[in-house]
Amino acid sequence: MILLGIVGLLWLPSIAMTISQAIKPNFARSWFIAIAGASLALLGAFFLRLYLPLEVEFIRWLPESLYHTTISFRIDYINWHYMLAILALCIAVILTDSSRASTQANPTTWAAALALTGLNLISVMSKDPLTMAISWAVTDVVELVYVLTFSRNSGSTNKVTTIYGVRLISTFVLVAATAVGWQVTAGLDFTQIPPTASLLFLFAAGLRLGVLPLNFPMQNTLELKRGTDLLLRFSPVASALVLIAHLPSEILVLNQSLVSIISILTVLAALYASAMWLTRADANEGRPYWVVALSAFALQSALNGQPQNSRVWGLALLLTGGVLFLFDPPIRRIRFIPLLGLIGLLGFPYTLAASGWSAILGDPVSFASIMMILCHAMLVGGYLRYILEANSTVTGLEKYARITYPLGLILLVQTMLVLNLVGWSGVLTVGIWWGSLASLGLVLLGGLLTKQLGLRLTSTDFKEKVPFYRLGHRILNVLRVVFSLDWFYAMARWFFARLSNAEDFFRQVLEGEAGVLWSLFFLLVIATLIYTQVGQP
Amino acid sequence: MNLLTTPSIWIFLPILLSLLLILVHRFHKLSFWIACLGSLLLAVAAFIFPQSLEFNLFGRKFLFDDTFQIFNRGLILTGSQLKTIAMLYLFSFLWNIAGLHFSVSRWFPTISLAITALWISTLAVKPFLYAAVIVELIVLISTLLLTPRGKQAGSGVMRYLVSQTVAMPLILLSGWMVTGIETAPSASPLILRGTVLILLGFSLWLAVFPLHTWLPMLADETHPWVFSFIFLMQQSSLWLLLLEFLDQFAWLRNLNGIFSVMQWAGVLTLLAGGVLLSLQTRINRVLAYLILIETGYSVLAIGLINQGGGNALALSFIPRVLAYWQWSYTLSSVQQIAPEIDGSFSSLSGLFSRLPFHSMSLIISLLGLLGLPALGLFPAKRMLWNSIANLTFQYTPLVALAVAGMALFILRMMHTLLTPDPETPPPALLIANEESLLQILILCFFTLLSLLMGIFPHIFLNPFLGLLEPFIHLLPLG
Amino acid sequence: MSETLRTVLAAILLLSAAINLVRRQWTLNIFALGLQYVCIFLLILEVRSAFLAGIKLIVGLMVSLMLYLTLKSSGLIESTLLRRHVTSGEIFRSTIALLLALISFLAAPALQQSPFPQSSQLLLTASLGLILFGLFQMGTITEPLYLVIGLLTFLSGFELLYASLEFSRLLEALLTAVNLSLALIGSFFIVKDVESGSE
Repeated sequence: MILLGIVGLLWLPSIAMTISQAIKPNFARSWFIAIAGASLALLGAFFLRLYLPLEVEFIRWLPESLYHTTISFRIDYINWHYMLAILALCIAVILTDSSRASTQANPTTWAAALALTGLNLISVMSKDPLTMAISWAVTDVVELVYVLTFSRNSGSTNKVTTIYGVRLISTFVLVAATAVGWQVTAGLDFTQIPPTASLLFLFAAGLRLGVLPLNFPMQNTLELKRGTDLLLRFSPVASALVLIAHLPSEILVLNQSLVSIISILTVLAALYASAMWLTRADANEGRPYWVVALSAFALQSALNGQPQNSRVWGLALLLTGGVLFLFDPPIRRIRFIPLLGLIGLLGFPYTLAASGWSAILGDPVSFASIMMILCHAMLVGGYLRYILEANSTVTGLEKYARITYPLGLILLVQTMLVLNLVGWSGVLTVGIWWGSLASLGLVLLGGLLTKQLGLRLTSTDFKEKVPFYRLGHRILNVLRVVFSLDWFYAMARWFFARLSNAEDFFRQVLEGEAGVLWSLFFLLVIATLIYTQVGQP
Repeated sequence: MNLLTTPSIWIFLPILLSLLLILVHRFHKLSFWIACLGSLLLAVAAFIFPQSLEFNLFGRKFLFDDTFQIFNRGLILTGSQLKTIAMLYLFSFLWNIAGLHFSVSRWFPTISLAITALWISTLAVKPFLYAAVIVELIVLISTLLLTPRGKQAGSGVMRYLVSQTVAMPLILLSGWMVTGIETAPSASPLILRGTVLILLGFSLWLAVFPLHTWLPMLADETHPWVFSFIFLMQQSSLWLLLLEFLDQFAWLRNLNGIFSVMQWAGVLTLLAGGVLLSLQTRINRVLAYLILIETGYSVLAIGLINQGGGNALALSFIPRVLAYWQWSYTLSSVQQIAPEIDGSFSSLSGLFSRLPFHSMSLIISLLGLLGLPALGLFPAKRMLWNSIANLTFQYTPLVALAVAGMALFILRMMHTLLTPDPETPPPALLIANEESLLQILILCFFTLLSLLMGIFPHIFLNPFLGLLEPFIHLLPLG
Repeated sequence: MSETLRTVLAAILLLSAAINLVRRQWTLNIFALGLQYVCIFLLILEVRSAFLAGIKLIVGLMVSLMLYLTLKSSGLIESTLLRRHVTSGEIFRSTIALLLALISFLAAPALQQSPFPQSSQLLLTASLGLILFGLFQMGTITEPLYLVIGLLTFLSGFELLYASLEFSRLLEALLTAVNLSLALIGSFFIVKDVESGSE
């Protein structure tokens, strides 16, 4: 019950805050309730490390022979750190939120943050795919309601529908994958996923992450920036990453050519997203690409037969990304804090991401491996760029915010360090040391070149200074057109219009004057069909 | 004549009540409340009535007979059918209690009660083939409700009448044709003819693809509240009647390929429903396609009866009712609040900013019918999806396409509801707070109920597995 | 009753159904409907007692009367003697009617062989003819009166056939209720048509 207790520690304060705000609004009290609840949940989750693996059965649908279903949760070495990361992110969001003038920090959004974190914890802790599908569905609907409540901007409705559409499809792909898996083991949990169903599971996760096929569900909407929305964007990603980490390592025994195609698509997605990440105007604009690039890393790990090691890239996405994206306002004096966040991404020996190199490079090293190193370098380069370009000297920060703001960022860095020590057995490993070295080398080379050429993205002579700029720009543009999927949507719209015309024609015929005669004709056809099909030995 | 019989309570009493309601039909509220109370009492009575039909009250022992003799034939309602009766009267109650708020025909309480009693009599009449004529009577009575006030009878209602009338002789003839041929070989021409007639009859009754064309026409002409009630009752009762046929006619259920034909009919109906729904541009027609999809699922479930489809069918009854109720309630309420909505998709543009709870309710009821995990219909639909995945690969892409079509429609609708029409005035000029607290509470309650059913089906839905109890031959293990 | 007389009755029966299919003149149609029920009564005597057959006659005449009174009260009745030119539609429908009658005549022996050996050929011809006329009428027109006449014709054909196969009091009662309800619905539709037209 301790697992549910942790969720309760998030939901109860959320309810308490909503009620207390309705009766007697008090900003400080609500903030304290939110922080206290989330901190207790984090502490509780941390202590769970001593008891891993831990299982709890919430509901059993009876009779067993009819449903084969239990709604149950399990915390083990695959999802515990994701749980910790989400909780740390939640606290960091609340701590840093109050320092931002650009967003309207208010108790309602904190209450929503706690509630959504609780829901996402449910997804992360799911023991079996069906529990995960149910929690995905609930989380998506709640998130939809939340977004629609807080975003009354008409321009963003298209995106809201697209985001929800992608999520909906991914949920149904997960259900389909479960149905395929059940053919082997009825009522299977994550430890029993058969290789035959693993590609479907991978596809479900890939879709939710925006990698397979490449889509950017995390597009920023105007009124949802930083703060609570970071949770909104990152938390669903976490549960999809957990799903990847649960996949069996025998994924390669499946249809080799299919796996190769998916692998190529994943590498392409990683390349495109990391290139875009490197070249955006600011970190906030690059956020969707950060998510897609690191998700592609996680997928590539699974395709290389090391799904468990995908967790390091997932944690980098959440924690390293969290530090950078919450670094707003980007105060120059404290930019060393987000720089520390790189610990979770670089993958130096004995750091958190060290074990991730073997997963993305694969064995033996191939062209894809080199591309992945290039992607990694671009991600690191972009990360450094956004921090080094930070030049804000905010002076009007409230007294309390001068403490809470850096504290929030430090909490995320600390979580990385803690996980680096006690995350899972074998976390302290050398890994493929040359991977990080090569990546860092590329970053340094890029940095030197930039400095040498005096390049600045915002400068007017940028185009002239960059060698092969036009070629590179053209390639990136082609990729952008291809990956934006606009061509696909246009094709789908064309097909839909034709189908609509055809339906209209048939409707007019069948619902017109001669409709009854058509029905009689169909009746005869059906009778003939039944005659030919029924009773045959 | 023994009046202490179950048919007297659940068939003749409500018919008598509906005749009495004719006298007070001008008192709109009173007749609705009488119908509500009557339906509720009958539902509760059926639910708590002992299956043995025997109980003690005030020291006296009452033993009810399950048979009512009429013209040398019987109306038989056994203890095992009480759950079905309770369910049907519950539907009547649910539709009457909210019907009061909409501008439906003032005959609604009277006719709804009579229709419910008649549907129960279709399940009670022996020989059960005579149910075909009772169905025809129900259809004729229903047309009074299906024709909107102050308007001509549309072509949809005419088609409905024709299609249902043609079905009746097919069923009656099938019964006569195969009387006493239980011992004939399964490929005997008589059995084949009987089977064809029965399947054609049910295809017409249930509006199986491609005989469904009258359904959307009728939906477009009729008040959504009336339409949903009539076809919910019709669908629910006819599925049970089809199960009865399969249960009673050993030659039918033992015929080679019969279930396979039903599976194909179900899948194709489902596919047609999904694809056609995705292309819809008129909101009133949506319910017709939803009904078509649900018909597809149910026929598929009956086709998969040997693979556990019966359980899926039984588990789907109540959540489906709630989803229909929520959809038609919300739509009727929207049309009442905003009469300028002419049923076209474009007229719904930006409704979310004006009626957020109603808009969300429309979407959630659709998601429920789609079979979204965590909502009421998911346990039943998941069983069917698993069954077809196990059975054959042929159905899987077709069912997936149908689900995709429905999902596409939901997204289209969501987009329409969220995107404001450039021609409508900005939100500030529209009347604020158009949704009453009661409406909001009702919509939230039904959403919550659907959620509870999806997460705790063993508590909320298992009692309805009892609907299968009467079919002892078809489902010997219950 | 002699075979010749019965043949003549069957011919009149089909002719009256054909009039309803071909001619769109309401008084004439109601009269033809009534005549149809009289012929059914006489034909059905082959398999039913006069008392039971009489029920069908009374119901049929009541149905015709109900429709007639509705038309009259709605002011829709025009003189039967009113002469109108024969339209191309009527010629087409006449051809179809002939074709349907021919099909009934030709199909009856095969139907008698199987699956209706106990029904006479004449009865089968008459019932099949009525069913086909009814179906065609329902399939080609949406005007309430003609649709109801089509439905009644179709049901009459079926009742004629079923009477030769099985007898059940309950079924007879139910079919009577169906016929009367159908007439009621027809009247309801006609009145609604008139009301909405006058608004």
